[in-house]
Amino acid sequence: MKIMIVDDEAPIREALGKRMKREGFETILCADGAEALRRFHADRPELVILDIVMPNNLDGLTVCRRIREVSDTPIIMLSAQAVSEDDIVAGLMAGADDYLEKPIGLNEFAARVHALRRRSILSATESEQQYDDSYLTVDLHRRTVHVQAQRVHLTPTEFKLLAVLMENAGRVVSQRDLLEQVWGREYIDDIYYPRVYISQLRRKIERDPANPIYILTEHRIGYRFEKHDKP
Amino acid sequence: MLDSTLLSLIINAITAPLSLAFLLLLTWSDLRREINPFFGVFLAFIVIWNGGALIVQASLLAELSPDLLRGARIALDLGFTGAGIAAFALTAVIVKAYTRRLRGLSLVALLTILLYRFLQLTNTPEITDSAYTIIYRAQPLLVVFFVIFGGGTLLLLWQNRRAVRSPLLRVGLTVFVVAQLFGFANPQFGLWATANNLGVIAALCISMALIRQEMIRPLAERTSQVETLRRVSAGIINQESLPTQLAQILERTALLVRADGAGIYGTHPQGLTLIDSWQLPTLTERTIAADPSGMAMQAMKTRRTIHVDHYGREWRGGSDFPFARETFGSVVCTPITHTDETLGVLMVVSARQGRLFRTDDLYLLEMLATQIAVALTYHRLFEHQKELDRLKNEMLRMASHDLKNPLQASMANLDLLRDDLVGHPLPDVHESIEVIDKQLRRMSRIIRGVLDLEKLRDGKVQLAPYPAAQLIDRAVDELREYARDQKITLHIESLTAIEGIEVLCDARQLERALVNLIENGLKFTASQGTVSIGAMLDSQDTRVVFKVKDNGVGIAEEHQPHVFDRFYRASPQGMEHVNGSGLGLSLVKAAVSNHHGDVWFHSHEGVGTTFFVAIPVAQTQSAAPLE
Repeated sequence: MKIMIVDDEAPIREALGKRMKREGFETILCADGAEALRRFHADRPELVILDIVMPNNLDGLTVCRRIREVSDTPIIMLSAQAVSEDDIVAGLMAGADDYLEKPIGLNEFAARVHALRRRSILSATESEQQYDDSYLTVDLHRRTVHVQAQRVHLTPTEFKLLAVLMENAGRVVSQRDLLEQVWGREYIDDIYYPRVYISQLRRKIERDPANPIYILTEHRIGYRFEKHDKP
Repeated sequence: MLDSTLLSLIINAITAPLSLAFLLLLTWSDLRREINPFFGVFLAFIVIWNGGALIVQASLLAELSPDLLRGARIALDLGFTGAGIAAFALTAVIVKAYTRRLRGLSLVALLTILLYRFLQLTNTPEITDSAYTIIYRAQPLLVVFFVIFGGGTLLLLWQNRRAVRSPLLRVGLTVFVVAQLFGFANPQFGLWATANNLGVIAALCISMALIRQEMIRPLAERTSQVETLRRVSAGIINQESLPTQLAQILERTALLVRADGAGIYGTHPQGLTLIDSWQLPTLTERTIAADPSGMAMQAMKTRRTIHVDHYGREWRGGSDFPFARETFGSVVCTPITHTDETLGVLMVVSARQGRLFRTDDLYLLEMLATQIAVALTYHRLFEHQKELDRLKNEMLRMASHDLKNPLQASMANLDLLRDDLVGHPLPDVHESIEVIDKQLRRMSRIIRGVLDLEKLRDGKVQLAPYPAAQLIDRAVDELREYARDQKITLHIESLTAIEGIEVLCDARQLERALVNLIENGLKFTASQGTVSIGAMLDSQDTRVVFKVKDNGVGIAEEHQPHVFDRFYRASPQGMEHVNGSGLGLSLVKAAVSNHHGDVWFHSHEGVGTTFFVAIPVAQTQSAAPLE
């Protein structure tokens, strides 16, 4: 499995690279955003680690958005810049699946990488369920989502979130359950994760994201997926 | 004759005590005001005159001793004559034409004529027929005096008719001069009774007008002045925007001193520019920048209030506004200063036929200029503060980035090294790696602490219900190992009191706060000591009170007020080795205040410290929504 590590600080990307190699990954190391985009298209990595502050006006957030335009490859932001929650939310909004703050121990880093990989692989196989109401079509097995017959790209996290909600269709899934099932136990207190992803998911599948009909908010409790009959 | 005598008697009988009352009233008022001593002298002469007249007229109705009558007559005459000169001096003061030379002249004239009259009267042996006709035979010297002082009074009045605002005062003074004319120039016509009555009524008019102008009106205006100052101060404190504040101050100032226009100049590298104006002609560019030789610039340079009554006639410098010489009447320019710095100039203007500003107005304007200085300084400090805050955030962001990257590189490479050395029997190397690892993590904690504190001080929190007991468990879990290393017992008290109870919190933040409190307890407790953690509901069941108790060194009384200050570190004896950033407790304080909670402690040196943190219980109505 190929993993791409983008960081302008050579000691960091090399150390991370070595560790990932030991974990059995094939590594692609990039020093800036432009190189990252080039290598992404050339080598097609299966997972991307992205630093945010990078030279040459092409920062991690922009790289992340560019990748998201064409691919749902899992992305982890690894940044020293996080000062406030807004920074983290901005990273997630750009399409990242996870946001790690520097400095982080290599063990934890590796654990997070594996967790994300698990998330993206598992969601491909765990369910046979399908949904089709002629506006929205979801095939959990094939990992495809269509809105009005147009293919919609979901990131692995968005897809996993949708899958968990659909498997519990009609029932409320609490924030904590969502965090645990979609992100993992270690994320249980990152309460802004679901909010950010739910709003992104709504933007992709709802007719009117401001007045959702599929993913409904249960005030103070959690979220619920509502099925609709074919007209 | 008797009827007119009776009338005069009544008038004098009323005026004498009334004047005396005015005089007494005056002595209680501010005698430092320039006009008051002159008014006092004037009133004193009126009292003497009326007292004398009263006795003289009484003698026509009842037999009195000749000596008393004679004395009364002298008093009447001296009072009447003296009042004439006092009226002149008073007029001069009212119209501000009073000079040292004039004062000398008045004083010499007064003494001369009083002495002259006194000698003349005491040397006149006989008093004949009526009480009034005797003393006023042709007296050329008196006529000269009358022409000088009566005429002088009228001349001053005419020349400065705008300065004498009260019509009653104007009429009073004029009639008084006429009465004096009757008294001095026409003794032969037997007009004394008319002169006396007219003079007395005029004197009453003058007194009443002056009492009203100098005592009653200032008292009445006091309320509106205080109200204006109150509103101006309130405007400054209410943090309205600076332009709004200045506009309000300016309008209130103008209304208070009944000006026709007002403006505030602010300093500028080239001098002064008009930053706000109220009903001043500001249509052209030229009027925005103050004229370099104008009155506003002069006030700024000299740092003193400049005041003219007639701009066109009195102001010799450059014109502050187009057509100012043609349209401006009274103008006051007051510098706006703060410590040693001049921040601008406050200008108030009355139209050519408008009001003249008085000394009182100048005091008021100086006071308002101080308020403007406060507003400007406050605004400047606020802006400065904002800029500093922005720079600080920028610095923190950069510092955190610049420090975290090398830290990440070091930690990652150390982890690699440790992995490489697994299975190698090199105890010294392993020990060094552990030391480096510990120090790197400590550094990371300090950086995170600084950033966390900044985050907390931003005040942004996501409050959601969270089980209180779980917070304690998680916080204790984090420090269990550390406590074991320090050989300190970490003990959780029974939590049944808060079982199933949720607090409204940002779980991460509140957990950090508890970790900091426990860590603090562990740091300042010697090995074999105990740190215990508990929680209970407060008496109203509305808040969960967390408790962290240690039996450590305690906090000395002199340190107690400062323990929550940033970077404040007390180093109790025997605990000098304890290291920390001095941020832990200020972080707790900030986090708790973000949760609308309270933190406090009890401590005794040598016995230990107990910290309490009270956080509101999560209730349906107070919970924050998910989105």
